Amino acid sequence: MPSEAVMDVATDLSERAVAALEPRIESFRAAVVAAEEEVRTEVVRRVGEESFKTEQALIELGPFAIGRIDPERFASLMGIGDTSLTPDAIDVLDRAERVLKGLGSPSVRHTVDVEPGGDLRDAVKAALARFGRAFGAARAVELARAGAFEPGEHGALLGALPFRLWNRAERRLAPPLVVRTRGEDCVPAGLGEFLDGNVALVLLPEGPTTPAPLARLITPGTFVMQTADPDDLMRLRGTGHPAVALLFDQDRPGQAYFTHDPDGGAVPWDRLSVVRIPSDDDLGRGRRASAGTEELAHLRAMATPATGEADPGPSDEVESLFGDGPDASVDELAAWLLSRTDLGEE
Amino acid sequence: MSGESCGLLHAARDDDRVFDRVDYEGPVARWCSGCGDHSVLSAAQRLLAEKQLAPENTVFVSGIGCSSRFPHYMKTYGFHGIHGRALTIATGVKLTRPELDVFVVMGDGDCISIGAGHWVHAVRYNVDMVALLLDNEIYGLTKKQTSPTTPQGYKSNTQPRGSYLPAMNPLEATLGITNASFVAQTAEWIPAHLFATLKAAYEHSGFAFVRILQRCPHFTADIFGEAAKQPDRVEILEGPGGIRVEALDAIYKNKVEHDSSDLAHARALAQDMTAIRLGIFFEDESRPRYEETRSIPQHSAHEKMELLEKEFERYAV
Amino acid sequence: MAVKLPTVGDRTPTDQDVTTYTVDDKSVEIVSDSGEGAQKCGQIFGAVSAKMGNGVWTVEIIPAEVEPPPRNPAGASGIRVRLGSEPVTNWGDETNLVIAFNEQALLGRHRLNALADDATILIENMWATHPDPEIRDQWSAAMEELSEKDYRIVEVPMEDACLDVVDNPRRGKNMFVLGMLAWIYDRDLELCRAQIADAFRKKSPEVTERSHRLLESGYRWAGEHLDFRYRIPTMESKREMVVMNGNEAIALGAVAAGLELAAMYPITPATSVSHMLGDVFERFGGVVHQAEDEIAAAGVSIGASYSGKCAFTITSGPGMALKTEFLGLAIMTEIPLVVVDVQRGGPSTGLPTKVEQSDLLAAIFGQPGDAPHVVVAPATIEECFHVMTTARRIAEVLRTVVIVLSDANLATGVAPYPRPLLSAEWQSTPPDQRPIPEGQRPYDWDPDTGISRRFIPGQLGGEHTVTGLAHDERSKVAYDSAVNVRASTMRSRKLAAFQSTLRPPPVNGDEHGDLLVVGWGSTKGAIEEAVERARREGLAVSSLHLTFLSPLPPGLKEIFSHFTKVMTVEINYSDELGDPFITEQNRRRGQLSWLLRGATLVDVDCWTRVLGEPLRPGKILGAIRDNLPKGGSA
Repeated sequence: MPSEAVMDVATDLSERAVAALEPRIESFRAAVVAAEEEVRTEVVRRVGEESFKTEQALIELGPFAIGRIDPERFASLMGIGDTSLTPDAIDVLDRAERVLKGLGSPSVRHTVDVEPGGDLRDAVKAALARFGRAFGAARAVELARAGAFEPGEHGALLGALPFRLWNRAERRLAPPLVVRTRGEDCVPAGLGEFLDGNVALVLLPEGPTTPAPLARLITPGTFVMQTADPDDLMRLRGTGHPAVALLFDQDRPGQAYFTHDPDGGAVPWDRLSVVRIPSDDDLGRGRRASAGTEELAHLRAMATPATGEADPGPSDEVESLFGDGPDASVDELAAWLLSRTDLGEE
Repeated sequence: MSGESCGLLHAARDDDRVFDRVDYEGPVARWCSGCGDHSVLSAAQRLLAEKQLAPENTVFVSGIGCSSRFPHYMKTYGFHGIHGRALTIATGVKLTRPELDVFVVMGDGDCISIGAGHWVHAVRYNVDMVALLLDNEIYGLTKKQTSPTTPQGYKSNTQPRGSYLPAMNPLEATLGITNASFVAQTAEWIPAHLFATLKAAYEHSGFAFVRILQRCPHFTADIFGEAAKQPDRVEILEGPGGIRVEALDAIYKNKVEHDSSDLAHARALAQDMTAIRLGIFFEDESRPRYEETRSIPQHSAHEKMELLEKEFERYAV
Repeated sequence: MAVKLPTVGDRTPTDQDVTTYTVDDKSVEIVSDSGEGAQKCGQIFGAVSAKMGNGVWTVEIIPAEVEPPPRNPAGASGIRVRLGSEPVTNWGDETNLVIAFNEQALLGRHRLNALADDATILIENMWATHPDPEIRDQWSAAMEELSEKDYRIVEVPMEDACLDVVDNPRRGKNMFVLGMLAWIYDRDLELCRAQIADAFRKKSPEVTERSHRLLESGYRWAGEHLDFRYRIPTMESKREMVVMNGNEAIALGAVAAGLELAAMYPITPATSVSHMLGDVFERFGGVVHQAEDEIAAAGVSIGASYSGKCAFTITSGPGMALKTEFLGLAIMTEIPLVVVDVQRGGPSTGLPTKVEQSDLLAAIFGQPGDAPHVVVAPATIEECFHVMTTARRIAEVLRTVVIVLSDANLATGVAPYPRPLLSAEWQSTPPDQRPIPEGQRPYDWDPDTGISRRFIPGQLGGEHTVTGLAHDERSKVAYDSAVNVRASTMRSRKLAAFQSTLRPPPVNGDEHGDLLVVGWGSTKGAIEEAVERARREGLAVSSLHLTFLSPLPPGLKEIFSHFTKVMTVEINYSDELGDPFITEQNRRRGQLSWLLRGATLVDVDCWTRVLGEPLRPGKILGAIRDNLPKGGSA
């Protein structure tokens, strides 16, 4: 059992992390809330027909209109030109609205706790899929309004929507997450698939980890940071890139501190600013140490300017890869850059 | 300028459409043949295709004048407003829907004369949009009246003995406005340069002001019509932060070295109106953008009502 | 309410000497040089009285200049507070009690006939013995001039008395006066203290503390020296009340209505709406945009409305003139827009701080070309709040402009009204963003109503260019006459369709009689008070108040037909019969009267004044007596 003091540190750090992510949380919530209101209005407008419409006109016009405007007649002017919806479609809207309402509540937490011994990737995947219900609901709404919602085919949209099914625009709206985990469970290698669009993950390991768990997540378009200073998390506010940050719960000699900012330049050593790369001696012994050696080697290589032919500077090749259009996948780009810097997978 | 959709329902409609130039083409443009507007229209359509902008998320706003018919020839959303006021409408659009891509098309009378007050302030607001000044140095739609940029001594129907005063210098004026963040000049008769300039303007984050020198075949054929035949008169700005169009090297040999972050040099270069200097005069993306400073988190109707109840507490008796 | 008071003399009155007058209506003015805090004093007094259950109407007396020269009749600054047992709907007639910080400010009010002939005046007397002989002479001259009337003047050594409490009596004299008022009207001192603390909540605690001591000092002084008190019975009200001015009500109304962008340019007397919004709007997710000019304010709000948000702009007469072309554009392109015009005296710069109702015809007909749209006028501060929701909904359903005509009287008048029962349904309904089905056009006018569905940017398949040029259903520029006739008809039909939803306005009083007084806007309270008094005198007078001015509600001609004479009462200019050159034919009439004559072919007369102040019920009563048709029941 952690002591109370430790608990306080953990709570404080996760509050700091949530605060740093506030704008991203707020913009996700704003999108959900706006959609919820639009859908609710639509449901209200559609349900019940004439008598209800009159009541709606009465309410929407407000007290000023009482005695001055005939609500029944005014209702007949509302909604002219609208296309009608089937009861089934309205039902879908209604269900979607409830999903959106739940996710738009200010009390929705963006903090995920990984069970001791649990899989970090699975926890993030599940949390994103839960938030993905907002996108699923929105899609269901669009299909229903277009008269194209087939319960068999699209019913699942009202459940969880896994991240891999999110489209580009949805990924740009992605909600951020703060993930709390035991230090030894902090194995983020599998998180790369989620680092797209506007995703931002802040990892809060409790206790020692390997020295640079995030080293493998560095790709040219990803903001990656390891630090023990909670203030550094505010840098997440300035980046327009997918981001992952790791905030250590205390300063330990074997931890690497660095920031990889995609806006820093065209080559890895310009983008990577290193505060500290521990020496291999700092790592101690054992399995964790050997994994650490690898991570640190990786980091060091990236931080060292290449010479001569190895320079992968802003060549035409980079241009053409980026030029492939928005579809050019980050993975391809990463693979290519890794190959150029001799840092590819073993 | 970057088009980021912020709506959830909108995101749900995101599809894998691929747009071609024809996807942005509206009805056939009915400007005179030889009019520079055609060239700008085609460059804009090419830009939209290159940037794959969704037509429904793109708005062209214009005022009144020949060039202000522009939105009608685009297959996007458009707002053909009133004389001189396009920038105010565009500001309203962008303040409330920052995710839309907004282009403003104005003529010289529209922007520099009747709309001058809005021009000055729009530059200062630095709202993220592309503003195109299609400058043919004359009022064309109403048939040859002097505009503020008409060269001194140039005869028109309103000043038949020649324009009385030195012409206004839109570049110099814009560069003098506090918080200007992007000022460029290009010419419609050099399509490659026009396109590269529009692209840079679109990619700029903030208010991108582009003056496009433009031929009017009817009323000022002897101004830019002549210049278009004399590549020697053109000077291309090159240097850090500038645009580089290699294909033009063979024809346009006069180069001026210029760093687009150097405002003093930009102003010096802009002063001489006899030279036809094309390129990015100034760019600074760090200038504050009004719509960013005014960006406000949204609340649901119920949250707003709770807040309003609190507000009423202050007035309760 | 004429009250004769016993004379005090020099001695201190005992309890037996104090006479308490029970009245159901009383007004007091506090006048001073600008910056001496008379208005703050009156506001606190008004708020305390409202909390105690009195009807209250306060109105500021504002000089046109920010800092007029001191001790100058033209620079009189201050406030009038009218209290009643029942809700007070207007500023009333001449005031019965005045507290003056100097005799020049008092003279200013005297010369404007703001004081009842038998008013009681409490005046700072330090000027009588001032070291400057010129000031002493001014004092004597003023007393001479004031002696024309039957005022009862009580000299009060305000500064001297304040010196017991503070070092610099210049600051805080107003709180001493508040204390005197609290004694005179028997106000709850605890409430006074709380209200003072609230008024100075942004200042240091010392300010509040000092003000409390001054309050008590004034209360004590009055108790020791004055021989009269007033008791105004209160009415129990179960409803919770809020108190604010009309501009604050418009600002909160805009929030309640879900309006999301307010674009404005500073102009008196509308500006305080944006002050208020600047303070609170952003917390609600709204934007207040101070534009570079009035035209831009209109343009930005139209741009915002075009993009699907509902926006509004707020201005006064000169600003309305500048926005005119844009209003035409909004009407032509069928973009919903709410425009608030807080009217002031005109034309041109006119009387920036004073009330007039001279923008009515310009609001309805001022846009060149045929530009049908809605014009509505709230009559009370409460209506200023609620009108915004209604205006917004009409603007969106009809896709047109709704002009809300308020005025300086509502803008600066402060009165309590029942706390609104808020509904989230008033709020923004985000615009329909669904893709546009194939074949739908941006102006698919419904042939019966002229209404069509609005397309907004972001809607797939709805791409089109709106234009201020004549256009057809596809929004394509069309110069041919058939399209122009069709489009003009459809824009006009929207107004007819809306008019069909309006109900005939209720007649205040009997539905038959000798004279029907018709008003609009902020004059409602004064007119109805005058009519009630006239009816008590036995006159067969009724009144009718119009809220919708364009389109006019149905049934007016029918209502008018039951009265021998119909007359509008308005705060705008009209020629008087009997003036040089003026005949029945060439007479320029009150603006509503023009409108009603055109709409009903009834010979509607008018009685209008441009005094730069709200109408007084007593004056309206006089006009009613003068204008009763001969042979009437009086």
